[in-house]
Amino acid sequence: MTTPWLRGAARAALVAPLLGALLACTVHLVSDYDEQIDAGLSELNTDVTAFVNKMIASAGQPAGTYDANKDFYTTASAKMDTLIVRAQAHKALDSCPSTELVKQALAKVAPPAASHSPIPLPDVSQALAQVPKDDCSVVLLQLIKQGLGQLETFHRAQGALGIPKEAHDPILVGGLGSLLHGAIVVEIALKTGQSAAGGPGGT
Amino acid sequence: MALDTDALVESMVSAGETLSGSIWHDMETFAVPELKKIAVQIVAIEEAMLKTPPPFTQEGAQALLNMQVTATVGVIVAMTTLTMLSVQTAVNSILAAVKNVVNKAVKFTLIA
Repeated sequence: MTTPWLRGAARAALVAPLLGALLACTVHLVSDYDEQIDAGLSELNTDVTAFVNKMIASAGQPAGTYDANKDFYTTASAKMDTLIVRAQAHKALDSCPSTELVKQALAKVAPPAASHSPIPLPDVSQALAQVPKDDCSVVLLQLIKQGLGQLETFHRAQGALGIPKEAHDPILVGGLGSLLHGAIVVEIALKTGQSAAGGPGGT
Repeated sequence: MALDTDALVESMVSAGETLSGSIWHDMETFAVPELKKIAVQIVAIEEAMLKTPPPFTQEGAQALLNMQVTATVGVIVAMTTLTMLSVQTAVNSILAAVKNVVNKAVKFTLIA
């Protein structure tokens, strides 16, 4: 006849190896916080905001054309490359679970060919091809670089018009501004280890 | 002290029950407002192109529109990251709860 203490010890001895294996390491699904990525994103946000506002003030003048300002894009793109390299060094996974979901969703909402619109509708297949397969943090930074490229395409395509005031919100509230906001929210969440959207540091 | 299944389950459930609230909170305070902002910009670009003369060239308007598509993908990817962070936090909290219950039951640090 065994005592309760012995029964407990025997049970613990049976369960311990299993729990030990289970608890040997913590789960790691997202990349670690990187102070330089955090600072780099805040700096880029300031640079992009200042640049777009400066361009709007110079719209229609030679100082506001793409040719007079293309150095900004070279520098900003190089800064993004550095942040992407750092994110790749920290990555936790090789893919982002939402990448396939996004591709399927975008394929379903592709507008019909005969759609009437005063502007050419976005090329969804091109957008699909450009969604990279990597850790979510890396994907997010690559999307910001893509957004910078789209700003450059826009600026170049505007010719002498430059960047008019009507472009402020599509660039800085939606568009590139939204991409930067999302990445900064994620960095704050990684830093605090919890939801950033409504936390003390939330934006 | 033997392992108490009820206490173990309660600790695990308590550690994990904040998960859905945290994901919904991120959805409500981050993803939905961002998607709304982007939707407003898509309409604004189209309305701007109806002006005479339009402030954007055709190619310029298309680049701005493509930027909104990229931003939409960005919101989904950022939301995914926040969700995965919440899952990671919840799973690790559950594992920590199990560790505490087990160590308390055996009265020594069986699992460090």
